Amino acid sequence: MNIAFTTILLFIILAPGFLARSAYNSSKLSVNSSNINLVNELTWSIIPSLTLHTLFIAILQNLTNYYVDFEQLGNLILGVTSSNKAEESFRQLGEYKYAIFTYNFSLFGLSFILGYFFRKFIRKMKLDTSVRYFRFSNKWHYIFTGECLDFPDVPDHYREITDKIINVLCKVNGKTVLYTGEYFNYYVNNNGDLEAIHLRNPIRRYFEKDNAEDSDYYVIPSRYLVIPNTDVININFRYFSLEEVIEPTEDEKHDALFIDA
Amino acid sequence: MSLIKFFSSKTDKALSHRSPEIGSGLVRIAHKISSATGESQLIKIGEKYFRVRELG
Repeated sequence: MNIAFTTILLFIILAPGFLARSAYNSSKLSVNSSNINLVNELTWSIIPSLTLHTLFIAILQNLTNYYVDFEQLGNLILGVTSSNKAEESFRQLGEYKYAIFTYNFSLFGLSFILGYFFRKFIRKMKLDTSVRYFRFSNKWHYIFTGECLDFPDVPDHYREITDKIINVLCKVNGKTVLYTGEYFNYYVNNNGDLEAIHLRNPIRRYFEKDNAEDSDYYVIPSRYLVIPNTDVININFRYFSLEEVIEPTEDEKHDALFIDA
Repeated sequence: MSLIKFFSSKTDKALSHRSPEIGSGLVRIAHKISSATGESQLIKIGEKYFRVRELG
């Protein structure tokens, strides 16, 4: 038996798990490295594949007249050549080629859909924030969106956030500059490293002026600003809960911090 | 239908639609808001008052 054929057969058997994992990890929540180790990926696909095959075989054998001939499948995988068993296996393969194709095509499609909806389920039930095992690989997502507030032992909740203010300390032309703005977006590369930060309503000041007055802040005449990570020294995240007060008391008005819009 | 809604609805966010001036004002006043205390503070942006609290 040709080793290449056995390998292809194993790939087809493990494909449902691979596809389910691909769909599960296809969002911005997951880091999709370009240096994917195929052997590693297929190893992680064994259990999902076996689960999906078991499920689909049970459906197939209960709802149709078809069944999976494990004896022939074993002959093909192990490359049994005695007593013309290989020829018999290939003859059956040819005989049921449409049924086999339909089985695999349906299973591949179902696996992809199940992987996609399993991710949706994990997100909907917030299992990724409450259970570390389900956490997605893109750690920046939880930091930038503020979902890290839903991690165990962290006070307050993500749903309370109305505004996210980000301070980005940068080195610009030899000077240290602090950029401040509302969170708009962020970008990561294939390795999950931060590439750039996208701010809205940006302002800046020189870091040397630590006790800065309002006049030390320069309002950048732009609605959006993108800061590449190469310039970033560190990032400060502030999550706010903002609620409009219709009629504050006079005492409250007196103590209020203010700024002209 | 409800199952589709279960998977397709967006996550709840307290963020309400408001004028860009409020967001811009919050950016400029944020450095005055104390991080040391978890208590809310009253801020005035333009003609509107807001109660703001830093989370986490």
